[in-house]
Amino acid sequence: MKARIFPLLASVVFTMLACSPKEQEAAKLGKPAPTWPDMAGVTLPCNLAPLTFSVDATCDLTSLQAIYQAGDKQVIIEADNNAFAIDPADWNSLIEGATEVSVRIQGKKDGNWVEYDAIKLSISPDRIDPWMSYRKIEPGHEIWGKMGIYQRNLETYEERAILTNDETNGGCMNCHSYNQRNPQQMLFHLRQELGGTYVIRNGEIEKLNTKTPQTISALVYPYWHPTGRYVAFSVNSTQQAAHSTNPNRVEVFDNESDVVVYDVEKHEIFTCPELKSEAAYETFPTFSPDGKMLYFCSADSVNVKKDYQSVHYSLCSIEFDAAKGGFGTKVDTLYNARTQGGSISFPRISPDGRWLMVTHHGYGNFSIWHKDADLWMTDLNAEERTWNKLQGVNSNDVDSYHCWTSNGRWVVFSSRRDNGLYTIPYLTHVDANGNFSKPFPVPQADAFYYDRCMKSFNIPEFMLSDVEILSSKISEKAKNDKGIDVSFRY
Amino acid sequence: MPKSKKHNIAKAILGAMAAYAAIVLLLAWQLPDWIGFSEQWRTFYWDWAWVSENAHENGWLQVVSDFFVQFLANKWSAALLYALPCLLIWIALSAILKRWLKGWVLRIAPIAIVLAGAWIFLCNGLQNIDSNQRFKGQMCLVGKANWQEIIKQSQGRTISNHLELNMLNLALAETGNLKAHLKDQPSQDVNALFVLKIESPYVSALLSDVYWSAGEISMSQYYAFEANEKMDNLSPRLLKRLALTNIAFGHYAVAEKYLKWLDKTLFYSDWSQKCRALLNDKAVEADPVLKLKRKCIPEENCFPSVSSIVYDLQKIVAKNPEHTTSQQYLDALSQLYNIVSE
Repeated sequence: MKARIFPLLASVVFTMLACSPKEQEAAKLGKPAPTWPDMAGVTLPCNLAPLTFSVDATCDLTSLQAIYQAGDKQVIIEADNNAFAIDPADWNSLIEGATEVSVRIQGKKDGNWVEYDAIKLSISPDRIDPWMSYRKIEPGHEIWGKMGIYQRNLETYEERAILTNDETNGGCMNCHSYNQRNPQQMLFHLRQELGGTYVIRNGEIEKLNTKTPQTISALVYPYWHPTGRYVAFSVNSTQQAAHSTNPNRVEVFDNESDVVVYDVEKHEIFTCPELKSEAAYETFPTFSPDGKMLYFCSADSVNVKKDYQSVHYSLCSIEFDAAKGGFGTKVDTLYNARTQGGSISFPRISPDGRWLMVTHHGYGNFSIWHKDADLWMTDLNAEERTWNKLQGVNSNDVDSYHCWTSNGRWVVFSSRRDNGLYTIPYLTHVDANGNFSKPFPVPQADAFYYDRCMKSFNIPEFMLSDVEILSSKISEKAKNDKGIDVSFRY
Repeated sequence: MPKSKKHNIAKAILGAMAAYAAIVLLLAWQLPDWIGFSEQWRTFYWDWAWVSENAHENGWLQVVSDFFVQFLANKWSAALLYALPCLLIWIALSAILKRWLKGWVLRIAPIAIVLAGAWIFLCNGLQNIDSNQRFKGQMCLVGKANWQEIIKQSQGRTISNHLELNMLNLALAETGNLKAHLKDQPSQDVNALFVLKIESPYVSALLSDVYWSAGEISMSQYYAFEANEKMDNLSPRLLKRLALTNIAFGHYAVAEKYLKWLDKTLFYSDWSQKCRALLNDKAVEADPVLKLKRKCIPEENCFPSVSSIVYDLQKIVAKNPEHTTSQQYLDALSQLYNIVSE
């Protein structure tokens, strides 16, 4: 018996060794590898799932292999249909204690081994929040098919649905939001049949009916106050239309809008004249990390239907008193669209309160459909207000909705740079001085995932852990609860 | 193996092949147009990652269904597919009838029964169409741009269904006969040309075809996108349309995304590879169809969904008189408005 087993085992081991890829003596091509994503020079968080990538089929190389090297540690993997996916365990062992990884791609051309320029990846000790959530929906117009809010473990490739429209009678859902990235305090809206705002705190769900006679609409764009007692919302009368020629394809505009604050304990909405002005459209509210200021975007209330391109949103702020549940009276303007041009959307402040990032675009407020949309930032500690377009981060296409990690060292944003239509979440590192690294897409287990995915990733939001509440519990609440009518105070 | 046994096996295989060929020929000749309807909206993608995602989301039954549905792309592959169960029945019948029949009767009887059954159930049975099947059949003809057959099927009938009228008028416009034959049917209003009530994604898909023909490229794209969304983004027919509309607009990167999907299909990968050659301005200018479609795109932006179709067509005709179907639709609308005002 032994006499039979040993030769068999030996041949298996020999075959495995013979088949495992080896570094080859290769002629240097002297050019970068045509990979997607373009990884050269990116900075990766030490706890992120490994970045998978593909080499363009037009490279005309066969037997492609990638040699990952960090110090004296080396991992060599072969391509599967031109795609590389390093084993997460190998990756984690490779980057342990490393600050840089080089990736060399070798392949055969006319029977001879050749090699592209090495790709340098920096490994940052700054950790990324382990979870992220987003809504996946087609970048369409008025109807939708399957859609849902999903959560993704960034340390692995695991994706789970928080809620899909299979469980909401097909109804649309949007505006998922968390208090300081804490999934124990979240909210989102359902529209149509099971319409309402759903606030989930520590496992308890409340369904709210938020349209009041005094407000334009049900609650729309949210932002939690850091105490968790309040949530600022906009109320908007929104319309959309398809362009005939404009590469932006779709225009979404508000015919009117205001900003209100919802008191979670009293089930009450309140606002002030500065946030509910007849002369202006106010939208996209955001609290400062200390909760003392409320930032919002504001545009002169012109006839939008007549000239939608003449609507320009400034960025303003007003004091907020959490103890009394009230506002100051002085409105500051941080970006004046009347004098500086353009339009501002989605103000978001870093957790340390220093950096204020916005989406800047030519006009209007719905930047995801505006190809000129870019990320801009200002230093709130600076004596003089200056706005900087994020060099090396923005692309020629849409770069929009963004979110900071809890340590303020990473930003995720929505980008349409790859095909001009389907939004992909990109990550970028930011150092203490506000310098950004080259962005890269959130990695997927399959390098071709984004090619195959026919949905956009909307509203990427970091989370400190996963949302535990069961979708069936939310669905049950939506179907069986009449909801709490919120009141209004002015 | 004895020589006689080998000879018998060879004879049996030859017999089965002959029976299969006979069934395929009959089916390919007789299967109705609408047999390929479902394949236009959902097909099989030869990509393991997609298969596992599809199985996870919709179950393995859906994956198996998608696999078989892909063969309905044309009558020959559909016939090959439908002939498989017929072949099994033939084998079973041959085994059963062996007890009672012998010689040439045993050879002829099973295949005769199977062919008769296929004729009665698969061909004749499927030919007795109701309005739903007629709609499906005509949608398949629209997908294949078989305008003459659509016109032929309308002859001698009074059509009151708006969807059928849309397809007939589309066929008439594409053949240059819309102005002359519009009044042959009781086409009373704009619904006969551009159906207004959109009750299903199939209607959106039809409108995409109608607007493409009329030269209203952004609306064609709009409806193709909406319909494809409802089909889980898996409709080869709509992915083809979206690739073309995006090429017409010069949005090559997103067109490439759709072509990559079609690359993974059995029956559309040739089309997508040919289409890939059009992903640049020079190639579009040299392409007789896309060159004309691109010229239909107005220079001045507007919101076509909220503006008048007559106004839009006037602009297209003024800019691109060579796109004759736009003129056909504009003339037809003028006639219809005159009928209504009379």
